[in-house]
Amino acid sequence: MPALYPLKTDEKRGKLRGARDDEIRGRCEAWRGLLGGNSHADDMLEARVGQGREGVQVGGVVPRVERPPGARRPDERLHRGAFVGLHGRTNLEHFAAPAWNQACGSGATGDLLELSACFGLVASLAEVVGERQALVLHPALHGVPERSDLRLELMRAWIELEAVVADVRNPAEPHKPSGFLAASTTHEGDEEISARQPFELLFRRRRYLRELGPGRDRGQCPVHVEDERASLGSFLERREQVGRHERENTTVPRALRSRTVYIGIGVAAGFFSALFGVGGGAIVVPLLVLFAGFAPMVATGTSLAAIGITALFGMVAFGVLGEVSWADAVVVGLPAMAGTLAGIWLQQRVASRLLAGLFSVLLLAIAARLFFE
Amino acid sequence: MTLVLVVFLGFAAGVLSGMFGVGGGILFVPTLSLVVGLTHLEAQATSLAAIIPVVAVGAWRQDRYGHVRWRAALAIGLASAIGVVGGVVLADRLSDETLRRLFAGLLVVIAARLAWSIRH
Repeated sequence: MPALYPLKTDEKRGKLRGARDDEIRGRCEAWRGLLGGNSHADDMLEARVGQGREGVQVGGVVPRVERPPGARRPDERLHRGAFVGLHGRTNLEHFAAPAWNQACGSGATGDLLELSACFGLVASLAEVVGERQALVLHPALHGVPERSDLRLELMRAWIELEAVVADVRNPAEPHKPSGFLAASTTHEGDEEISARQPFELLFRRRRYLRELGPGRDRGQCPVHVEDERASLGSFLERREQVGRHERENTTVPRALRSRTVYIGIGVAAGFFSALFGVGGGAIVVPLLVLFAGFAPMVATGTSLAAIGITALFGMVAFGVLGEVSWADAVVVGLPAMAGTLAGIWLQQRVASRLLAGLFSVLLLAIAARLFFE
Repeated sequence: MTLVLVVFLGFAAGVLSGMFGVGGGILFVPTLSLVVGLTHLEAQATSLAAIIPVVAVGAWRQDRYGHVRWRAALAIGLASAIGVVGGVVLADRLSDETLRRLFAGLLVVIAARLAWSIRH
């Protein structure tokens, strides 16, 4: 505290009051900042006032009454004022923390969290950062040469130029520059983009779209929803999504599509089917996709037709051996036929993830039962 | 009573196979062997017969979507006759217990595939 002796008593008193006022306010703000504007700051304030009371005669109010009205910020009373109880008295003083400080206090951690999420999102994808806007380019795709395979181009066409607006507004203080993270997002990298590059990217994207055309043929034929979803994300499906467009230009080597492949698949499927007594779709579909370049949905459909023939052969062969119980086959098979129709109908109306999980558990249980019987 | 149960299980197997695209066979075989009480070989043989109407319905549906390539299917189906003979002979040779355990292994694989497909 500065030396006050040369001053007159009133001045001294005034200065002391001012100093303590500042101290209280500072503490209040710091405390409030820690608590995020929590009203419990009042307790602490009261304690401070009580301690300081011997030194200075204080009326019923907090000393900041002494301050000239001009020093008060106009919005103090409007925003986030806290009522301060003084030493058990009932009258309360409206002790407002400055609005900007409030924003920094409670806002700082919140903004940090919010911005770090935004920033993480942007930083992982964005290379080109404009005024509060990022043109998202997948870093891995950026350096890919022009004539790569269709899949990458497809992905690029989707990924490029999705504008991401980073939300860096500070609601309390719009004109004030926001926190450090926002600053870095806003200004860093402004140099890295030339003025005409966005247009270039736009043109490139348009070219890709034209090449791909409306060719997402989902609009042109009914879509088997479950197939579509079940296989999404697997490698085969991604390959198929490209294959869907490639099917016409047949990038799969011609030799592999020949009948020998089908025959090989057929022999394997027949063996599998007869050995296990199942249709064999479990191996026909992957084989068709891998070796014949079929799209999974086409592979599924084709495998169903093929299995019909396979099962017919199997039935005949086992029938010759006298192992088929015909009555049971009818009793199981005909309801199953109706059930299949119901299942296909249900499939597009029921959220079947949980059911699929339960089903796989059921299969495991049956497996255990069969194994240990 | 068993008849009702078997009809119900057959229907349920059809529903599940329609929903998840797994063949009906993996449910027919356990139904036939555990509930009806056939030997495992009989269950497999009967299951193959029971599959036919199911895949016929499935192929019909898929054909409406334009997903069936009939020439390929025919080639595969006809070629499968060779494999079927081999499979039948082998299945006839193997003991019932071995067949059951092989089938249990297949079930585990299919369950894993199903669970894997859920994740995506």
